[in-house]
Amino acid sequence: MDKGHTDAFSNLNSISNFIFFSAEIILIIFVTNPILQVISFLSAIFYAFFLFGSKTFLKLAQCLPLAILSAILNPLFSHEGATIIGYWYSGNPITKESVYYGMGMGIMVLAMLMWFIILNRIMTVDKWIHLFGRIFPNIALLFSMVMRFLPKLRRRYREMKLANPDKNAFELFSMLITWGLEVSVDTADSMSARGYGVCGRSSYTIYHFRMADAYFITVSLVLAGFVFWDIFSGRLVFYYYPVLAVTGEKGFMQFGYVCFLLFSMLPFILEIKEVCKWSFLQSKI
Amino acid sequence: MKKFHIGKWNKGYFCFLLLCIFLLLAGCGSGEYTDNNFDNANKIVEQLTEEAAEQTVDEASKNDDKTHSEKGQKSNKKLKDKKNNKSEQDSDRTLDTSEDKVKKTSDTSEAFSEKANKKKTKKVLKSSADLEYNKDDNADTNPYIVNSDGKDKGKDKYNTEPIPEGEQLPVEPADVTVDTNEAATCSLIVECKTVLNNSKQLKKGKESIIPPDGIIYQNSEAVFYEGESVYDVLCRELKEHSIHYEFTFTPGYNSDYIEGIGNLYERDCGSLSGWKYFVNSWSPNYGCSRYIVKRGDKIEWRYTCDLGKDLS
Repeated sequence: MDKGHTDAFSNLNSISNFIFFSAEIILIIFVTNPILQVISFLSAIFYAFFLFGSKTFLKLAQCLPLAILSAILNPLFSHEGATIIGYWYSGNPITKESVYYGMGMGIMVLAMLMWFIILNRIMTVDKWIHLFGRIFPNIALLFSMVMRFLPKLRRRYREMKLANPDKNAFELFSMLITWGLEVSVDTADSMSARGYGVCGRSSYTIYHFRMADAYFITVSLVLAGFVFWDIFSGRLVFYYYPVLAVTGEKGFMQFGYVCFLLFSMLPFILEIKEVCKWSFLQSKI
Repeated sequence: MKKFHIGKWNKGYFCFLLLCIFLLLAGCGSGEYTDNNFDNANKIVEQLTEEAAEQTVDEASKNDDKTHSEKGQKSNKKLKDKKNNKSEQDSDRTLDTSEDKVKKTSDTSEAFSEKANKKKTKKVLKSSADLEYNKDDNADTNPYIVNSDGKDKGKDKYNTEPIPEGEQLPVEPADVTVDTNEAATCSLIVECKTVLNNSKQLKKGKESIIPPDGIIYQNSEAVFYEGESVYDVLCRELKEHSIHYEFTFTPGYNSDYIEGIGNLYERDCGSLSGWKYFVNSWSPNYGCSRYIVKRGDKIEWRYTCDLGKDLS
């Protein structure tokens, strides 16, 4: 189950995947509501656990320092907030609200990183090329190369370390840079020699737009649309300063949260559906 | 296999630690003028009143003649009333404990009639001796307070326009030493009445922090020490009453800039809004760290919604 490409969500068309990820990431980046961020974070964890198994915790631990850093940094630079805890040496106050804001930002960063890890797994290079290869061939290629650049460098670094156990990290790093530059030149030459980007050149993709994609896109757009509508009409706005406060009527707010929960859980729901179907069919045989 | 010279975890966490340390240092070092006097303030005032009482009684009983000899007589008479008022107000405001002590001692002294008589005579002596003690406390002797003669037409190195005649000249905050032995009072008011008229422009969520009468803080007897600036007085008073404020030091103007008081920040009520200060109804054209407070100054911190045009 933890092999890529076998799960229901990544079997969908790349357009569906792209729409889902862009909506999800835009939503959590532009909204400072911690409830939405927590919902997004938890659903990302659920889905990542489905994809990566126990490796999720390792990935989470790798992202954690950044989140903690942002939680520490905010009270250093922001002194707004009604509840004063103490004073920095400089004389400016440390406030409870700025600490909470930092934590909120930390959760946002965590959620965003988790979604990007998932995106990296689901949106493979060929999906990017399928999506944008015809519209922006150069940008799509560049993007796909950028996306696989760091994992590739890491792999290469490990190989170099095995081959040169006596060299220290800086020497290895310099070797890595040299190699990276050389390879990029080679790749460019090789690609142009094979006629990449030449007009009228067709490309074959294995992805087809099915009814499942249509359903998925409609559902996700409707749900995300509700959340967007709620946000733009000021119902899900959360104030950290001067005191923590949520605005809006209760019924509408909960509706927005439920919509967002359903939306974030969509990939996970798809997987559950597949698992149920599989076990149901299996028992019949 | 010996492959890790610098361990994978060590490296990452070393960098992280370095970054944290750097940022902490940056955060701590960002303010240059700290309010060190604040912690000692109460203690010093307490000591002052007690010691002054003891010392001056001794001195006065010995040197009665000397007190009347010198040129300070006229100013002393003026000062006398002020000083007595001031010391009473001080003890009223900040020194509940010392006040209690005084009360207790006075109670006991009343109980013993003989001692009470002695004390009364001592008190009379004390007031006259007080004068000598406070002779240097005259605001005019403060070397940092110099009024402009209006002749200087150029800008100074911080781009300050010439100061109008009769108004106080700015100082370099780094040059001033605060004398914590010399306490006096001034009046301080922090108000945001202009927000009440422009409540439509007020940033959402901030409505709850605006007081209904617009006065955030008011104290007609704010204590300050000789050499302290408007900024020092504001920060100490707000800190003492745990009212929120935020400032940044602006090297270009060699002064601290008050960004917000009581969570009401600059640009919270329209893009032209912010905090301005007035001393004796004049808004100085330089920063609040460069204005040295003198006895009886009327300091006003007022919130403007239109670059100060709505305040005059």
